[in-house]
Amino acid sequence: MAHKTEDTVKLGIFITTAVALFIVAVYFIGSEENMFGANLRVSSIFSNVNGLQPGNNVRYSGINVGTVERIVLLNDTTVQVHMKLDKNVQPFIKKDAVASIGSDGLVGSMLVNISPGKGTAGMVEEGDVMVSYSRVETEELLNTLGKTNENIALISNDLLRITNQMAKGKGAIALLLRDTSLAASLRQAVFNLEATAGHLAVTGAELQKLMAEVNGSSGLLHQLLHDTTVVANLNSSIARVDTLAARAEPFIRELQSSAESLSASGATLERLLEELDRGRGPAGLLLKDSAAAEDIRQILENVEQSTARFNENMEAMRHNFLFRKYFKKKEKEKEEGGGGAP
Amino acid sequence: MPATYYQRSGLRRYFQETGEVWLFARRFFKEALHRPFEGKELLRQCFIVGNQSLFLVGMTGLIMGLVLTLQTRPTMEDFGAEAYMPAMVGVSIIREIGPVVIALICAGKIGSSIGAELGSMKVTEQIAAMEVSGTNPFKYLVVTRILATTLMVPLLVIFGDAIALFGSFLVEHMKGDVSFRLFFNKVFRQLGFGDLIPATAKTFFFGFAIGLIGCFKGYTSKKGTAGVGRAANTAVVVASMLLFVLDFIAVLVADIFFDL
Repeated sequence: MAHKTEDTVKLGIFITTAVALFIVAVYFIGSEENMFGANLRVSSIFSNVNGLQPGNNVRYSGINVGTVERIVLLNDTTVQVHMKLDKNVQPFIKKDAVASIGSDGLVGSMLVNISPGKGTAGMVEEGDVMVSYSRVETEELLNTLGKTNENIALISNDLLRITNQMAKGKGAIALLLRDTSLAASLRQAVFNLEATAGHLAVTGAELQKLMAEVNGSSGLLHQLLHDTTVVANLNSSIARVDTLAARAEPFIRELQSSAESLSASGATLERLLEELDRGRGPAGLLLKDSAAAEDIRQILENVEQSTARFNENMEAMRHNFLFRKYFKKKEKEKEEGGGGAP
Repeated sequence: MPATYYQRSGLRRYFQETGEVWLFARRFFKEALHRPFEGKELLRQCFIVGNQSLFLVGMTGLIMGLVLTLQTRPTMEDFGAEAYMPAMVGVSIIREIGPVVIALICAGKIGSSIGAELGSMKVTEQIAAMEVSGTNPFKYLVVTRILATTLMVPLLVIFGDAIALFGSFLVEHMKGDVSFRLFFNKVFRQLGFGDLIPATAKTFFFGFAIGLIGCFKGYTSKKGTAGVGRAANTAVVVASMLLFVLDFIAVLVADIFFDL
């Protein structure tokens, strides 16, 4: 009897385990199909669903958030896909989110991808029809790939030609690869660049320091940079200088004219002096002709002697009775004029 | 009168036996729905059919999972699709391989043991003695065994499927470093009720078929002790064939209702 009871217990354990396994399987499959928990039903309209089936996954930002519930053919060009989503993702899916049909890898099953909308739109609600985006058809994709392949073939031909030329040592790149002196020059250039960069860094640091000082101090530069009244004053000063310059302009023009006249006079003087130097004209003759100079000196001596004799004659004439009266009268008037005017 | 081709070819015997199985099944439903119910015997039979087959089913399931994964993985690797291994193995085991292989194992073990047991009781006239003693041998021997196989085979299949998936996981873990959670996550992501429900429903029919054929062959065995071996043998052969026929029908029906 005890043996039978033990058998029954073992049987019970087996049945319980098997039923539990079945329930676990049902639960996991059900949770994958969103059978348990609150759901949100939305739909989207497509022109082509590319073999999508009820039960296929719906992904939002790459996460499985629901399944395709049913697919309804509305008319000859429109297919409505009804989706059952997990209610927990409702706050994240906005009204302007876009649904598109994709596949889970190259050989995977089809699925609906929901791309996030803008944060400004409100969250999606029960029964909403989401905007859809039709993905590129496979045929179209293959056509594009075909064109790309053709382009790649052309590019590879060009590359082959270029590499052949490079191998033969033609062109700048080949030179770059083969010429060791060029490499050395390049290395030197890089060193120089590095040194320049170092200097630049130092200069930059100094500039930074200078700027810090300018910012920290209250000098002219700081005022120029930060004090708006200085700039206003400067503007005002510049305006005044402008006015002054406008006023000085006629004066400068006159000065210029005088300078031109002076320049002309100078030229005339220069010509005159030149002529003098050459001994042309009476003055030139005076300066350059020694014979004439001797004559003139003789004349002047003669004039001096004549004058002396004339003075002697005049003195003699003063003492002449004929003219004595006249001279006396003259002296008298001179004395009166000198005493009457203190 | 010379025997006709129809009588000689065994076709007549086939139709006759089919009719007898039908009547046997009808009698089972009639007896099963009427009191008294042999509860204790049912539990005993459930223990024999269920628990005593656990080791065999478990081992078969484990090896099935290991071998299926080991055999399929290289091909999937050639396509760069080894990531789909859990999904593929899961669908294969749950939908088809698990139910059919485990049902065949049960047909071999349980069907033959029922056929041999009832056949020996028949030839040793124990069944006739039960009738004389006022016990309904059909209710006590046949109904309990068919009910036990009908109820236990589905549970054995579930158990075997779970162990097969675990075996598959072991290979995936060793070869592909797939974690336990990831493996079963992928399996259940791929599976749907369209996979689980028809596969589980058909195992009830498998169990019923194994019990029915085993009991029929044993209960109707003749020709002494030789008939016992014959009953056990034909029970396995016919039950196995019937399993495939039922599987085919089940797949057709599931395809209509679940759009596989």
